Amino acid sequence: MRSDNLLRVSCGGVELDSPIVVASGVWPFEKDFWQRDSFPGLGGICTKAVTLNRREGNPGTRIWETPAGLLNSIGLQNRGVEHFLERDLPVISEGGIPFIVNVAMENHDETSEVLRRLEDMRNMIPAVELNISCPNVSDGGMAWGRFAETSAQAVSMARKKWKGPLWVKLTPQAEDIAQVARAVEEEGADALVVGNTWLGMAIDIDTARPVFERAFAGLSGPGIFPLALRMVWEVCSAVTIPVIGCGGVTSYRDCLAMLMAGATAVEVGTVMFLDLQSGKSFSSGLEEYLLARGLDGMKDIIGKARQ
Amino acid sequence: MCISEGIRDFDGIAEKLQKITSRVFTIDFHCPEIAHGSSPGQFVMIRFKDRLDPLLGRPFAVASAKGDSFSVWFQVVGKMTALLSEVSPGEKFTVRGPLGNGFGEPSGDKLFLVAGTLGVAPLLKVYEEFSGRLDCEVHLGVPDKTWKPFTEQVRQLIPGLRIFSDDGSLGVHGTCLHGLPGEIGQREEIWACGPVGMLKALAERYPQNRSGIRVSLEARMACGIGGCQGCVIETVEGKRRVCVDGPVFSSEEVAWDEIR
Repeated sequence: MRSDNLLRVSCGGVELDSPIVVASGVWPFEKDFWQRDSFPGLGGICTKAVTLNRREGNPGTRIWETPAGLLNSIGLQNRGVEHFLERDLPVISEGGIPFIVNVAMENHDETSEVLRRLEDMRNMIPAVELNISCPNVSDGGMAWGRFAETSAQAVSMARKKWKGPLWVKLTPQAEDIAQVARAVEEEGADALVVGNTWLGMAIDIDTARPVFERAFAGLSGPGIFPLALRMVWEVCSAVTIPVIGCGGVTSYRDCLAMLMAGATAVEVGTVMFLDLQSGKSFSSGLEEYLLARGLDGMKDIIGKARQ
Repeated sequence: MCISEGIRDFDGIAEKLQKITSRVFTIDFHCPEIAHGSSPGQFVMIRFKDRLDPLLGRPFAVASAKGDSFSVWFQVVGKMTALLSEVSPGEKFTVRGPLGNGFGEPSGDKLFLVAGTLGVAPLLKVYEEFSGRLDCEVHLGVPDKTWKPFTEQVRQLIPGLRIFSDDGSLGVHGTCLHGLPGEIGQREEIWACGPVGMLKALAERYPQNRSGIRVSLEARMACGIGGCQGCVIETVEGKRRVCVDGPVFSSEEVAWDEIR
């Protein structure tokens, strides 16, 4: 029998009422943004990245719009894990939307300590998303996710410290994404997020200088969707654990395409900057699509383009 | 305070485009929620509905509100503002807001409102709100006489407007700081908006009175709700977000030496 949870999916150890999850780096920690009633249609929210110590993030210009895209170089600005556990966790836990704590991979010892502290609070934390893919920091970040060997080291460490559901966010800058995906799966990840932003840059022609202090920055937005979709397809061919498609999703049609390519859920980032109720509109679109075709649930959509 | 209280993405319909100079325009948007729900110094993110290029909304101060409509003032500086300068009545927009903290309540009984060119936009709403109950002296600085239609337009709304121009070809020769008193009195405040160099000069001019100066800052931003952290500025307490911690800051909060 059809019910109102037509969109329900089980994804990497987390039960989601809808496959639409807010990507990391997008959502503020302020209380009102975590209330289930205020954001219908969202299956979950990934927190902004958490690191061991407070990070100020990058100086200079941090965002730059491109045609149908957005370059960012924020640099993991956050107040550190202690502040997160004391101040943010109680707030976001109350809202009722499942959340996934994004942990940015710095170095072995620091990230290991972050995960140890989260493990102490495991009954309050539905899942962790290990971010081995931030393109905007010099220490760690994307450097971990570029190669299968280093990705495996990071996930192996994480798996020892964090016993709950573990999602791992990969980088499109990986040398061989399928190889990285398989290595991460072998180390015990429960799901893969494919993927983080694409390395790009901008030059200010008035100053004849790179726009960003770090020269390179991460590209997101509708312009990258076909690239992300292709990468999701590749990863879904390589692993058996759930894949969460992420990159340029801007409509329910894009969600459907990601799901049909094999993704179990979809992360949305830049589009939330355009429309705070994207979760609601995308979920409605998905539901109507399913109902119009007499489909029983997400299982009838996921991977359909591969059959 | 709940920062997101009432913040939503509303429908806005362009009602009227007015060309003031070749580069300066105003648009009235029909959007009852913003018209009735925003306070002086707050802003909105405006984007073309259903268009993905330009992608993000752009921040604009709410310059005035009348009935169910509000107006924004802008200068053409890039792709978005160029498109806005050719907008047709009836065109649909998404309006996110009301955003930011706004100027709040005056603490004294006299306000000097100091604007550099389009920085006057949020101060128009301040004037609209407070000029009836306290003394508001408005100083507007422009580069030269090519800005005359703009100053005339502002003067229609603010009869006692004092005008300054960099080259002396319009109003008094000097910047908008030129006509300000040597010291700010106990019951006086300066509220200002304009280029960062001007706001910095203001802070340097009154090193002992910075707590009596409120400045509205501008920054590139993606979301307007405090999520992306793209719009941070340096303050004495570290980086803070222009969109939700501001856009109005006390001049003493801002780490002026680190602002470019």
